[in-house]
Amino acid sequence: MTTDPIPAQPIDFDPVESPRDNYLNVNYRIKSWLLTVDHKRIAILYLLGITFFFVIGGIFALMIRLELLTPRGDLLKADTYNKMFTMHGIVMVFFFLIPSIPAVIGNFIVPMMVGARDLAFPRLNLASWYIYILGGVFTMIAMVSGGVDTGWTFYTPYSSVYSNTHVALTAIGIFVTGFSSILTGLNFIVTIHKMRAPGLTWFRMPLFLWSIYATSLIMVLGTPVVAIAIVLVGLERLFNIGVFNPALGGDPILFQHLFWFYSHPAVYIMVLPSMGVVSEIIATFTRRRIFGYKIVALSSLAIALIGFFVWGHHMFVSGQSLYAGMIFSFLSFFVAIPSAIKVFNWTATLYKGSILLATPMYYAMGFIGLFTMGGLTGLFLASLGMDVHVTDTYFIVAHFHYIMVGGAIMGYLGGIHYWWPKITGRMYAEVPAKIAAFLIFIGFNLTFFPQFLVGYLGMPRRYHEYPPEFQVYNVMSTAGASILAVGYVIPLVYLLWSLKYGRRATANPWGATTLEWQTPSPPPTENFLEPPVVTHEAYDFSALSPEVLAGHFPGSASKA
Amino acid sequence: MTVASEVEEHHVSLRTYLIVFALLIALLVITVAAAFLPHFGYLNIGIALAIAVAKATLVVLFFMHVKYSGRLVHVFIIATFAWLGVLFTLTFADYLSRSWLPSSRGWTESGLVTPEGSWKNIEAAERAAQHDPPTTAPAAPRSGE
Amino acid sequence: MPEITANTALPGSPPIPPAHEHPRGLAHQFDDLRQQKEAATLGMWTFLATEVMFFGGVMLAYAVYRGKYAEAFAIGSRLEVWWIGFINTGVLLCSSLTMAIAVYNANRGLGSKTARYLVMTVLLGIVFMGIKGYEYAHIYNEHLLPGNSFDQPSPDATAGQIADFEHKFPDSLRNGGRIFFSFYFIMTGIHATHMIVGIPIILLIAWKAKKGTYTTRYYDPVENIGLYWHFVDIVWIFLYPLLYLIDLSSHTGMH
Repeated sequence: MTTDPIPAQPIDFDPVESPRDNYLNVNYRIKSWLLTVDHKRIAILYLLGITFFFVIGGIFALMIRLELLTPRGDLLKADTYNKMFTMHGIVMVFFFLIPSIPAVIGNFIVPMMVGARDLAFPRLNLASWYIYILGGVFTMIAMVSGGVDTGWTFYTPYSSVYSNTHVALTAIGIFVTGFSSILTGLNFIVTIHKMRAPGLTWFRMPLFLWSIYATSLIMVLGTPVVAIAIVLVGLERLFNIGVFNPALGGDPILFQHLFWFYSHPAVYIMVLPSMGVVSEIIATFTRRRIFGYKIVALSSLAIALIGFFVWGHHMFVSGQSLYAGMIFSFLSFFVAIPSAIKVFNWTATLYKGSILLATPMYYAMGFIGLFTMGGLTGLFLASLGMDVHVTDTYFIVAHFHYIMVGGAIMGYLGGIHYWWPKITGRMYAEVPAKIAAFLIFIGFNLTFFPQFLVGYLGMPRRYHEYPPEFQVYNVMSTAGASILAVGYVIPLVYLLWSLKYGRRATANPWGATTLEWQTPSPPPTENFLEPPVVTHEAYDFSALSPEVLAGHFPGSASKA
Repeated sequence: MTVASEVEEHHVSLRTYLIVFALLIALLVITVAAAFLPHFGYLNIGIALAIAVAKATLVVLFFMHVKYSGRLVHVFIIATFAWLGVLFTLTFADYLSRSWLPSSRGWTESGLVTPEGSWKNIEAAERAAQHDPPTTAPAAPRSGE
Repeated sequence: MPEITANTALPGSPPIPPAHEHPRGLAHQFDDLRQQKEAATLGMWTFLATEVMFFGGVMLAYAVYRGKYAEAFAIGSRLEVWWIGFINTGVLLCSSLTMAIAVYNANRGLGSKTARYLVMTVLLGIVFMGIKGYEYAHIYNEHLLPGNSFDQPSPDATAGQIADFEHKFPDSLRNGGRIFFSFYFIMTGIHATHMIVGIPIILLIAWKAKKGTYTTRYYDPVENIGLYWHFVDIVWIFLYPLLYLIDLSSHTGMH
């Protein structure tokens, strides 16, 4: 085990094995799922939760895009439209994007990638899930009872004094869910520090672990500050304490400082794990070590660090001091550097690599292109003068959707497809998967690229009506959104289908080098049949056998 | 299979705890005494915070065994306070520079927000309040749900 | 089973005990007690880091408003009873001492003594809360609860009572005063919440210590609840001067 190369895996082999004990079939009773401490089952529980919230958030998006099909506010009243975009933002940010990769893929894969039996604190992990659900319940109750209309940013004093929607209940829901985020991050930090397999030094870790570690740092250090911001808003609503109310001597911008101190790094919580997934996918499907591994690893930490210095760029027009604005603008340019380094390194890895275009690779390459566009437009926004012109227009909306949907969600879907064989023991069908990836890419660009244009031309965000000259862009955007929606539904179909009818997966169908592929698919509850020992770097493909290196994948043209 | 290093990692004796406790109480007394010093502006808050930091350091190093903990714990503690420092520094970069430009002077000059006088004016403000009849509370915006 | 070293990746870590020996208190995901202890301690420190950011956030807000409303905060601070806060600080420092002694005893495997000192810690904590409750009631009676009727006579006061009402703050400083007392209640309230959450956990651990659950090799919960309690103490060490001792030198205190 210590010195043998990774054994040859006949990838095309379609095993018809008698059922063996794995984490899924060890116990079918519902109680064994709801009281599990197995990180893999908890990951599945999270998968169900975030899929549900993605659908809810998507429905709100649907209402927004339907309304914006025509210039007049004819589908929804203005107040209702305000609730739609608010709740779309809240659900998508707090209940879908922030948990998505860390709680689903991270929970499943991190212990396996470090070679451990479970995370450092399995019961805390289960508690995290219940806390997440509890927060979701509070927020759903608030939405069903009439919703919130403050914008997901909860700016004061509207949210703390004047809004007559269910701000406090929603705030409680978000506060509670924040704890889930904190505890998950805590678990990952301790696991990565203390539970690595023998021989797994920091610079032998897969890049996904570096990304998760950096993400966890942000979760742990940033979330408490937004928590206190929310508490103060809640207290002001209930007791009129005056801390953010100018009429009582408070400063509304203080809320924005506390809010954005977390919410800017939060966007890195959303995108860093996707970057980690992309690193894994590119390494595996180019059969190469990621170019500049060490720099890419340290870039994850740099993004987490610098990301905390730039929050004021959300507040350039708020009344914040102009000098502070200049400082934040200057620092915001720096945060692009580590992200750009990653993009260059991925590209260098692809160059002359032995590329195989399986579905995860589609998503990874889509990520690189779309994230780059989102990131570059972020630089436009970092410059103070440009930002003042496009603030609160659709330019901003397009920018962050390029990062969050074009970037983070594509990384998430890529990861789901990449690790699907490991999680479920089944291969998904490549043809519908590629069609879906293609539709998502087309639909996404059709939805959001016109928004750059119409935003620059001056269409403001958060309004249910707009001047008629902007209609053509909005029609394109809504059409794109419909295609995007179809693209998102298709994976639900074929992934569920694969659970029963998909080809059974071997331990390492992609021929990857990281530890989670050295154990059967699906894994046994204790992950590894023998405790692994690591003797080579993360992406040492020389240890693989020739058939694996030649890259025979199910559904690929070069299938033997 | 008991390994000696597993049993005894804390080199803190009861005597050390009691000495630290005595120091903490002494510093508490000094804190209160310092509060009665005449007002030196920022120096007073500086002294108070310095004493509080000293007390916290004693608790962290000895009661929380950080003096004998590994480097990782030290890094975590320092990093945490560094992050807090970032929050304070950049936020105060905003507040301290607001008065420098008209576009953000509202915080310091707005009529809604009463500008504070100097320490000498406090008695004048109190005398003025005695001459005016007490005002009722402003009609509050509707309170929370 | 091949020859492998311990899972901790630290040089010189002790080897994994043979499979038949399962030390008491070792959770299934860990390989040995040392790894478990280090993980538990690091986990608690990470949690304390989140608490530092949480309290730090409210302290930032406090700092912003203290800079703005220096005089109002000073009046508010003088309206607090400094020597009650002094006693309370002393009580909490004592509870930190008893907690440290409890951990000391746990390290020596003395379950009963550990339990005794943990209970003493809890009792001191309850004394602290009691004194706090008395203070809150006092502030309520002085009409200084932040809100709509801050520093105003009661809504159902008679005309005579309204005329006789003694405002603690001049009109120009009332907003600042309201904000001061908001921070007083928020900061001490969140602090008290942390104590309320901690006390049952300490009692649970004390009960387990008395039962003999902990050994000299495994007493992580005692150590870690100690870290938590000391942190709560440190927060109060900062709150006391910030809320009670802003400026006691001025002779115009209204108290």
